Amino acid sequence: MKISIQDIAPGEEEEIIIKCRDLDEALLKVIHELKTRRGKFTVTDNDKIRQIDAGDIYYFEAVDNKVFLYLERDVFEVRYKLYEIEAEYENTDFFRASKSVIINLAKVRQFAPDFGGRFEAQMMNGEKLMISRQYVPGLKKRLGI
Amino acid sequence: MTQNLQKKIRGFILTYCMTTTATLFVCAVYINIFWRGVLLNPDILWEILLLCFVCSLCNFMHPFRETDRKRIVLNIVTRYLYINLVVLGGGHIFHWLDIKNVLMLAVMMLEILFVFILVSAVIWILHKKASERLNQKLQEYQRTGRHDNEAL
Repeated sequence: MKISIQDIAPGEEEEIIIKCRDLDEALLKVIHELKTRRGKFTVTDNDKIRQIDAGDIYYFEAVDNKVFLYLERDVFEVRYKLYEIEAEYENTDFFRASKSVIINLAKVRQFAPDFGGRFEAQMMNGEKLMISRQYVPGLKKRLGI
Repeated sequence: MTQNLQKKIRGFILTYCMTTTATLFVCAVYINIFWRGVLLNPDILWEILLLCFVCSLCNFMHPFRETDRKRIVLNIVTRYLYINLVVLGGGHIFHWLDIKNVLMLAVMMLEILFVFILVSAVIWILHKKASERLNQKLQEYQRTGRHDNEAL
């Protein structure tokens, strides 16, 4: 496989173009890795600075003007707004599930029906999060329904 | 027309069709009990269609902002009360119902409850099927790591 790297002008957006005959599973996994691992979040953990891979995050939640990221067990505050995370991680596994929550689809065990046209996302760590009715069409579109 | 509005209108039409079908069934029971042998005015068909339409408008009713399950239940209760008000009020105006006749009132309320539960059950089954479809797609998504097709 030929790999070409081109220099770009300052300010120009970085871009990866994949030329292939078929999008096989291995290639899809590479794309997945590129997209989900592109970011790391810096948090403070007992006065120590810690970097967290975006792929390890289960979900983000906004509570009282603060945004928290949730790992399998730990919770950290991050200095981003929810809309900034949503914009930065567009077209990745992160999905806006309600006004206050962004979930990582790679960490969802399953969806369950809920009252009022909503769904419940049951996460792999056992937590349950609501998907608001207004975000359900976006979820269906994301999953190709 | 926005996608959201289209979805709401589709939901309204579905509810209207289900409500009308179930109402025709319970009307047949009601007429057999209280108005057997009476020559009914054909206007009753238009009245049923009208009341089903007004009842189905509750699809657009969200008096409480649905931030938690308690508020969702409150919205469901409000819609149920609205339907009771519409059907009992309409029944009184169109002279199907004598509100002084307790048995007649009780049967009518029972029939409203029956239609409400039936329509809600059908909607729940459709919603459950949608969640099964979502789970199937989620598994494919997680297996292949595929994001939205446009992005690829």
